Amino acid sequence: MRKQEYIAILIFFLSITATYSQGKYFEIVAEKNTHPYDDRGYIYYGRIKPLDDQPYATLHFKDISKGTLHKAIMDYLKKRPTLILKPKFTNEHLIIYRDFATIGNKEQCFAGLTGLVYMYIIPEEDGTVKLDVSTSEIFASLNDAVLRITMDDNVASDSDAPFNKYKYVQPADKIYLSSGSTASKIFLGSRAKRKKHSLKQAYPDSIFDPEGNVVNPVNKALIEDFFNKYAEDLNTYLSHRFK
Amino acid sequence: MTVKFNFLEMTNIHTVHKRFKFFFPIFFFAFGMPVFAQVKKKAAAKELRFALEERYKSDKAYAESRRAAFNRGTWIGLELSDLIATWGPPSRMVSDGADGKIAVYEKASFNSGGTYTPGYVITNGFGNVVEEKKSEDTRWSSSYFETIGVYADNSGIIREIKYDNSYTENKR
Repeated sequence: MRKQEYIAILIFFLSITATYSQGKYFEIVAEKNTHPYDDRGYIYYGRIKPLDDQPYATLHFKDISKGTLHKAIMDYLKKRPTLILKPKFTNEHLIIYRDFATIGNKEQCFAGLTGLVYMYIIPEEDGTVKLDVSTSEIFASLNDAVLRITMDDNVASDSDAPFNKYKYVQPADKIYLSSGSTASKIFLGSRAKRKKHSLKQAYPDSIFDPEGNVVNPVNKALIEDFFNKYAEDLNTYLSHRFK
Repeated sequence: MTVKFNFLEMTNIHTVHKRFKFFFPIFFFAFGMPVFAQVKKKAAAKELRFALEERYKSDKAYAESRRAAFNRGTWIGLELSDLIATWGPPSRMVSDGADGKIAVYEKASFNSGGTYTPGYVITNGFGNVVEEKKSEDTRWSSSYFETIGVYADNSGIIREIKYDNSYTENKR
């Protein structure tokens, strides 16, 4: 019995090591909105961006030309049929594909999270491959919504089960108007009451609180890992091809 | 006997008062705190329920708002003739400039409302204004246009669907 426990612990540590040994290309950050009083009520907003404030995440393949890289990336996409090429926007300088995949379920992430990934790939003459996923979207549902996507990337849920765009940042407190109780109407007249409500408790899946502090490091790691896997998979394929 | 009784009674009241003063905070903390904790817990549960209801409403509205675009998108890859059989004949059919065609579905609606009440001025025989009322104009009109362009290739397969709408409202 004790032996089994040791094996379980060993497997756990190995899985952790495997997860973190993967390359890191993207990170999720909360940035201050330049319009603090916009109608969405968010002062901070979250986004996925390349590490170290770089405009792109990069892969390097020494002495490989742009044309060779382009062909290899197109071959890579043929080997991954779930990744849908966007031919309308793809040319010799840019390749765009999209994927629609589950990030995690309610047990893992406090809400069902689904990613609509747009990967922009730019091969360069010096053997660099630039990657960008900043236009990707994440959808969240507390109601076990089963999401579907059309060929032109419209997303809906079966039976219109509630879902929404994922909020990286929990919403700030919001003031609601209410007519008030009967007692308050008698004493205060029929004036509408203004009451502040906190909505952040309904967003346990968000990574940041309204002040931009990390409150859900697990989801941060899971979502970053989700995006990193796309870069890592391409890197592994191209590295094997050009070794 | 009467004096002794009064004295004892007074003593007893004093003792009871002292005891009450001593035990009241204990009773207060022993029984009051759980009640306060219960009230606080109920308020927190109410706040959580409110927040979850707000999220549900917002998520439901978003899910429903996506339905029309999704339903249109499901036609991509299917035959234009099947779409026309389901949606009815388009407003017009145009060429895409190559060998494909575009079925254009247009919808327009106009609404108006409100009233115009003219104003008046009443003067007396000396030309002084006795009564005056300004005209009131609450008339409004609105227009809504919706255009759906269904792009099909030369074999009649739908490749793209474009949607556009506009709403304008005029108030006087």
